[in-house]
Amino acid sequence: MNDNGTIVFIGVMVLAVGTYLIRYAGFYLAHQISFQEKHKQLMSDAACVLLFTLAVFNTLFDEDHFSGMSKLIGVLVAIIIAWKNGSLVLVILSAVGTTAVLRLIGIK
Amino acid sequence: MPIAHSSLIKAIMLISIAIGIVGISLGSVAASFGLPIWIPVLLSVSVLAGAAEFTFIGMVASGAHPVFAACTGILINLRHLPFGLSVAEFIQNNRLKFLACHIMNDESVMFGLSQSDLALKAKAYWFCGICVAIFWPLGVTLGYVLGRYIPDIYAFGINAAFPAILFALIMPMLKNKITRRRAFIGAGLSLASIPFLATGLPVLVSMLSLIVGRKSK
Repeated sequence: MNDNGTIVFIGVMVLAVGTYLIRYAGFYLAHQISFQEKHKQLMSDAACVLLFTLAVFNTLFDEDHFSGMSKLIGVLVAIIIAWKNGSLVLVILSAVGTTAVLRLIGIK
Repeated sequence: MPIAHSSLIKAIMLISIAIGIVGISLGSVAASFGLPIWIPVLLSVSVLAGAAEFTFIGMVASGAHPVFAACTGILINLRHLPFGLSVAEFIQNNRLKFLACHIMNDESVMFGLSQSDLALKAKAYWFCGICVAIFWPLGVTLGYVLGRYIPDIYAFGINAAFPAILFALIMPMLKNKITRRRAFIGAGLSLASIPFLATGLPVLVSMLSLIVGRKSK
């Protein structure tokens, strides 16, 4: 168990250091190169496209399987509220609330 | 869309609580696998990226080599590279940058980018990042201690909070035609690549769409 613990510890450290280096690398690169205005747009778009894709993935999937209608409908309700300029708090609560109610009445 | 200060703080607090609850589920999952408490707690403090931690714990518990599990986690975390490029616009290049990089996650980047001016972007990023860095390990620890007494948190719809807030924060940015086209094409490409790529990689495929907008302008 002790041996096993050491290997797991090494695994955790590899993940932590690797993740940190990825985080730092992007930040470091951006400060090394002076970007033109149109490239700045590209940089912010990069994060925007990634986050949009993440949002789509998180709406549709839990881990690697379809997450079910309840979450899909919950997120759609939240999107409509956001579109109608509802506050961010209302957006969060409506997503969680709608999904919870749907699951309560048996819609997965 | 300028967001009032207090409503921004409320939203960040609420999202942090939701993240804490997801942390509780990670902690209880680790406990149910019979892993010692230091593994999820050390992960939550040192990695601070939920999806990679879930994957790591799941793989280690099912007998995968920890270093292999770590490499899979690193693959999932590759998306932080473009995050770093974007965040550099509003995070100062001073000593605090080392901490700023550690608290870089989906939520802090999103709240930062969604603000109207540089000072506000930095504030939102720091506040959200620090809140997550506190609530996530707290939730994980609590979840481990409470272990199997925790009901299935997903019954409460908590996992709908994350995509909902992402969409809400991205929406104003999608008013830009090029950004919108890139986002839609990127997400489409990513979805189409799911059957062909390992976990963590399909999301990165969306980056290909950045070429599209550049050509058309």
